[in-house]
Amino acid sequence: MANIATRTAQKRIALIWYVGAGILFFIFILQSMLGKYGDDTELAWNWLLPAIMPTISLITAVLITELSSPDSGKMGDQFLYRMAIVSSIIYMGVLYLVVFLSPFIEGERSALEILQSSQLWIAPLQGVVAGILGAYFVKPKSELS
Amino acid sequence: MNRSKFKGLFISGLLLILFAGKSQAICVPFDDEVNLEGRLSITDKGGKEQFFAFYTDQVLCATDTLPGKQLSVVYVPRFFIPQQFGELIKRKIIQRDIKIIGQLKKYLAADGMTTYFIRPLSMYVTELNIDILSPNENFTDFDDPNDNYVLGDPVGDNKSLEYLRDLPIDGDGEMLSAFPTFPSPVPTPSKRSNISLFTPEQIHSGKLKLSDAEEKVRQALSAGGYEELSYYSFGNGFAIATPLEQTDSQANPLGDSRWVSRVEQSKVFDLDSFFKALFFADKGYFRVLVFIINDKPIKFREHTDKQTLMEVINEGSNRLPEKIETRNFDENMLCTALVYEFEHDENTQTIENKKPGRYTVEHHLTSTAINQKFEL
Repeated sequence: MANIATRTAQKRIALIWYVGAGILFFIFILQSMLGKYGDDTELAWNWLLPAIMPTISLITAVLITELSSPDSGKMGDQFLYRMAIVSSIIYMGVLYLVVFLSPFIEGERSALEILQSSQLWIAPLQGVVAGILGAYFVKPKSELS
Repeated sequence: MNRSKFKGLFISGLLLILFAGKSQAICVPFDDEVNLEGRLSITDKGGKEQFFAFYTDQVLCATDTLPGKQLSVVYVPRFFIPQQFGELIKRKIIQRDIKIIGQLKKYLAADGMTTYFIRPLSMYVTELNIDILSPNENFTDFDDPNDNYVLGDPVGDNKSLEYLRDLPIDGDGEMLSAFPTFPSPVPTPSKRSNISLFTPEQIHSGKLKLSDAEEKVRQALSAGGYEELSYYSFGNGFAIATPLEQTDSQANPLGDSRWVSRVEQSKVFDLDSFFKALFFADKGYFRVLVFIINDKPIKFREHTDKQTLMEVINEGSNRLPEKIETRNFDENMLCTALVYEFEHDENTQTIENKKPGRYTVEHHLTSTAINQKFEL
């Protein structure tokens, strides 16, 4: 299987996370301003931030480090790259699913309760995704080539 | 320990000593359910009884004759009611105890002791430290500075039980304890308004009974679609409450979801409703209508506890007892409509009372076609 340039792979993965998290962030800002969560706005953000910020922070830190140094032309494993892309999209999709489906399943439970209960499956999924992303963002460079 | 508590302790100790040393079983005309255990007494040197007490499995009642004074009855509930008890439970306990007092009153009346008052001792009744005085004017209170049994300053959280002051004790000493009582002071409604049920001519004819007022209110509510009504005694009159009802934001009954206690989601999933649900909190509107027919001014309490109100609504009777229905509806009787508006909060899943309400009583009654039934 052909390899892919590490820097290119990092940029593409970062793009998925920045766009996906950015839109979610924007939705939550609107919801907060419009009083969707009432007095429990903080709890809603307590759901979103742990779900995206650790990975976003990691991606940002590594990207800045990489981009501030000359391109070494190192290559990464194509399979790992695809795994990272697919798992990132699935993870983001799950986050969106929780947020966008809550208006349809509210009733007995509030939107906030739906968010909180979703942590049951989001947390392990996040662990898997973070592990895969680690191949490109925390793995020693020597092992990527 | 403050003065009143000390007094209470002293008196209670005295009663307990007497209780242990001088009690003698007698037969007294109490109902079986009261389960009177006995009676104790003190006699003076001439053998004249000066003090006696009744004790049951639940209460200890003592009487005290003072020179030149009327006979007083000291009432000591032996059941301490903790703060954490729900108000409904508190009311039930008090109703039961007052029933016992009602029996005691009858017994004393049979002994020719017709004038007395009843009040709890502060010692045992930190939370019941209220006068349980009959609204019947024949029962008089007196204030004797030397009376060891007179209560001192109130102790404890009286406000939580203020509504107990108006618990009904009939003039003949019988209690309506089996019949639910609407709390007084009344929980402050979102809106309130007085309603004329009858013309002045009808009222002055002297033929009207409370049953006529009940029928008029019931028919009006029936026209508005209210069927499961809750009845309560209230002072010399009564109260009728409707079940919790869901309305739209304009206070109109909410179609099929009218009697559903949770907020119904929109059945239409268009883009507009989706974005509304995504960005805005769901709002649900509920209301309870209460009609109080009474001949005395209604006292309101500042704090409206939704839980208590819901408990009260749930414990109402399905009709009025004949004893209330046959009372006269005279010119002092007034019908007061109370509207309790509630707003559902999606996030906390709670229903909070709206004060002041969003709409007038007239608006609420018109929205359910009740108003036209009240037109004279």
